[in-house]
Amino acid sequence: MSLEALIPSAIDGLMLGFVYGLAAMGLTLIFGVMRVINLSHGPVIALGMFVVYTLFTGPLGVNPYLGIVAALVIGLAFGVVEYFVALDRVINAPELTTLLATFSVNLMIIGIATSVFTTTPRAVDVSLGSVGIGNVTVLGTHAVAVLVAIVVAAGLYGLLFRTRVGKSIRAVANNRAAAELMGIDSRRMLALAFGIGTSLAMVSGALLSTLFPFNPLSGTGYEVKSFVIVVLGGLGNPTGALLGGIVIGLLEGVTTVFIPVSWVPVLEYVIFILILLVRPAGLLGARA
Amino acid sequence: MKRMRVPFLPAIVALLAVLAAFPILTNNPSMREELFLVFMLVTLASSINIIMGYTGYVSFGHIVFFGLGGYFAFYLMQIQGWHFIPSLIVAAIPSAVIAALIGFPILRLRGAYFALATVGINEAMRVVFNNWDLFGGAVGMFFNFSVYTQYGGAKAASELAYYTMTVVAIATITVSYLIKRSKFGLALMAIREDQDVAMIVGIRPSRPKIAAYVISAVFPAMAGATFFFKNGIIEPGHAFELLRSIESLVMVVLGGIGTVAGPIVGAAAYEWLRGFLITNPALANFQLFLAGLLLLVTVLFVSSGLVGWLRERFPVLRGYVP
Amino acid sequence: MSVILSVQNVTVRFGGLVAVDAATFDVEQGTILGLIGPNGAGKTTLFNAINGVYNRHGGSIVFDGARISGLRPYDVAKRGIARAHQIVRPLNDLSVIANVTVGAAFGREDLSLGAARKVAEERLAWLGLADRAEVLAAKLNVAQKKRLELARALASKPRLLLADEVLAGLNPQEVGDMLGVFRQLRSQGVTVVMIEHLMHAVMNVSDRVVVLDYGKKIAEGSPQEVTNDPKVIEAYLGDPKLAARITEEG
Ligand SMILES: Nc1ncnc2c1ncn2[C@@H]1O[C@H](COP(=O)(O)OP(=O)(O)O)[C@@H](O)[C@H]1O
Ligand SMILES: [Mg+2]
Repeated sequence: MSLEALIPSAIDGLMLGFVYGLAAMGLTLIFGVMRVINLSHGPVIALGMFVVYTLFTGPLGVNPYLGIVAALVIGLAFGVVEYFVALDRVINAPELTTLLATFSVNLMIIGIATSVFTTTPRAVDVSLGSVGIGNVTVLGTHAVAVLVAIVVAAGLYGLLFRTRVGKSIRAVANNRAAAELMGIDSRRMLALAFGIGTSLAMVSGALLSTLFPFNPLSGTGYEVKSFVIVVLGGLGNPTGALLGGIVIGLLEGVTTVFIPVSWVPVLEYVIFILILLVRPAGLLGARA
Repeated sequence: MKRMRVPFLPAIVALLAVLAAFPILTNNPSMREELFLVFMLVTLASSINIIMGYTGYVSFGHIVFFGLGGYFAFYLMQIQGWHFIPSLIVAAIPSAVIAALIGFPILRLRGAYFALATVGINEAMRVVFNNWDLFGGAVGMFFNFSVYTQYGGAKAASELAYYTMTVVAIATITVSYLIKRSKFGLALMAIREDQDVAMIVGIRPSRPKIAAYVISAVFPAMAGATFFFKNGIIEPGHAFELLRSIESLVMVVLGGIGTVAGPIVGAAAYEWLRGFLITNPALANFQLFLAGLLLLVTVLFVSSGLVGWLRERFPVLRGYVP
Repeated sequence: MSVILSVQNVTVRFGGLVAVDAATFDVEQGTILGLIGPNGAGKTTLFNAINGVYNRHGGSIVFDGARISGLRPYDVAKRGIARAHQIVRPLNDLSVIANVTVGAAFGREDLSLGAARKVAEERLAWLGLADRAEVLAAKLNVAQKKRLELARALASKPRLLLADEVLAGLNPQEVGDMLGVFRQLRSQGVTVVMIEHLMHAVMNVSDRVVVLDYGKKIAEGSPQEVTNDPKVIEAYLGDPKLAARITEEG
């Protein structure tokens, strides 16, 4: 339980936290803009992994980090299409309807992905060496994952707060009817927001593919983790999601020094439930 | 609310009883297995319908009570050496108490927050049991084959489980029906439609909501006890399987949310469809995809489900099919 | 006659906004009180304070000799106060008869389902909705939904009815029918507080009138006294449409 054991695991956890946070930002953005809990989130994360994998193992042998860019674009397109196919018609219906609509997409993705890729574990073999500072070693892949996560998160902020489109999305999130009166095409903004959220999930999956082995079902675990993070940060609050991701990542890293790994999720879920009960708006309050 | 012209309840109970007797009379074990599963799904779907369809709370992690009932009963049988039937009955009690304790705080949450909380509770329970040595931890618990001798062998035990599941399913449907026609049920439906209005007309929501949640927990607990008794093995991943929870929601929606008959029809249709897809070699791989597609089409175009759609199409049915 | 509802210094705040500011008035049993005032005057908010929706308000509200401030809405309902909302709130996925049965089954009387249904049928007949009994509430048109809102409130056989703009959006014939219902209620000893913008209707049916403006009571008295009160005219002059209406109709 010395500092020597604590610091490396804290750093590891912190780095993973950024990647978790990225996925959670996608989930929370979608909820914040259209009050939909996206149950296709997990499979979409897995799709991000397989985008990188397919390009990497394909005839072109695309570099995994280029694959991440592909995941970003494919995610955006996929999300927009998913919105129009599965959600547009029921966007004003009660929660259960949109939950089930996105869950049906979940089933379809998993159905296709498992029959194409089977459930055999896959891995994307990248090694970027490691950097040693004192007795702390940081894997290159981890460092790059953090970097990419930060760049993408910054990009999201730029988009939401520095562009016209971002302003429109925020207007639609605040009050759809009022936004429409101002001449904003709310359907397009909803579709776009869903696309961006999906894209974030895919990028997060793409990053995870460079860190751990995976199969088409791997997204589910990250999906549940995203729920925890999103609630921690306040449903609908992207900044909260990023911070929540970091908190959960750190927690996972640090607590494993003190308690058996298998108890860590218990702690996570207890925090999750307590926050829902005591402070449902999340630690930062809903929405930034 | 409706005056019945044909008594729905006796009709459906008779139908299920005849159906249940069929594989026994014709000595058809594979059909018995199939019906066992259908009755279990009917129980799960009808129970969820009480809290979700009548009361309006989307209990996403409802399978937690299936797992709890399974674990408590298994513990009594395996570790304490109890007979199956008393184990099942006694196991339902802590499940109900836990439902009341959970329900008290989380039923104050509305909409998405409630749904997420139920997922969290199911997952938390799964990892707790994963770590709890008393219940076998991650490996779970399993019977010695000798356990079944007191029931007259594995086959007889399997039949006992089958009869029990039939009874549990019929009990669930009966309770679901009685609630729908009661003043209690009317309070639940008023809460579902608009909790603020319900309060203004004099309904104190907390008690009926908790009661509905507890009732909707008891039957899955019994189904879990029965399922894992027959299964002979219980482990956390299988007991608290979120996917099964969501599948039960899908059955409710397919059949018709908020109706008594809907979950029965939905469970049967879902299981039939799955059987059809799995046994068809060309479709087996796309089983999940097709299930998803069917769900999406239902959600988008037939949101009131099969039974709801029929009732809208042929209003005369409303008097017969609650 | 005795005072059935006594509102004393009731104050409701939303953040910095004082929506109801020390409102004070009494209502005599078996009378109709008209509560008027420009949009945003705090009338609906005052109703919410009376029936417990905003149960943390300043001042005190006494109903039938007992303090009801701080009670939850269901407890207020059990004591015999019913409410018809300005914005109708039908229980959409239930039939019309079920909506009204809810009102009868859980209010003051706490009836069995069968008895509640009988009362509901009676109320529907009274309000001319009997032929719509089995229709889903969502399928009604706006005027019918208004009547449903009132039928549900009346099904509990309330001692005090809080009616929030139930006449808005009705045609003259329907307004006349509704006023008939209010008069009948009064003759049965039921007390009514009605919020209304239709001046001629309020003035025609009310025994007394209270005027709110920016949350404050600015006038109280018989319909004649109130219409001639310069403060009232001034308050409405801030709202040209209503001022026009007053000079036309009043
Ligand atoms: N829930 C609320 N939160 C904040 N402000 C409110 C709320 N309800 C009403 N108000 C404000 O209180 C004032 C009185 O509103 P209301 O009682 O609805 O007026 P009236 O019914 O007389 O038209 C208005 O300024 C309104 O904007
Ligand atoms: Mg008002």
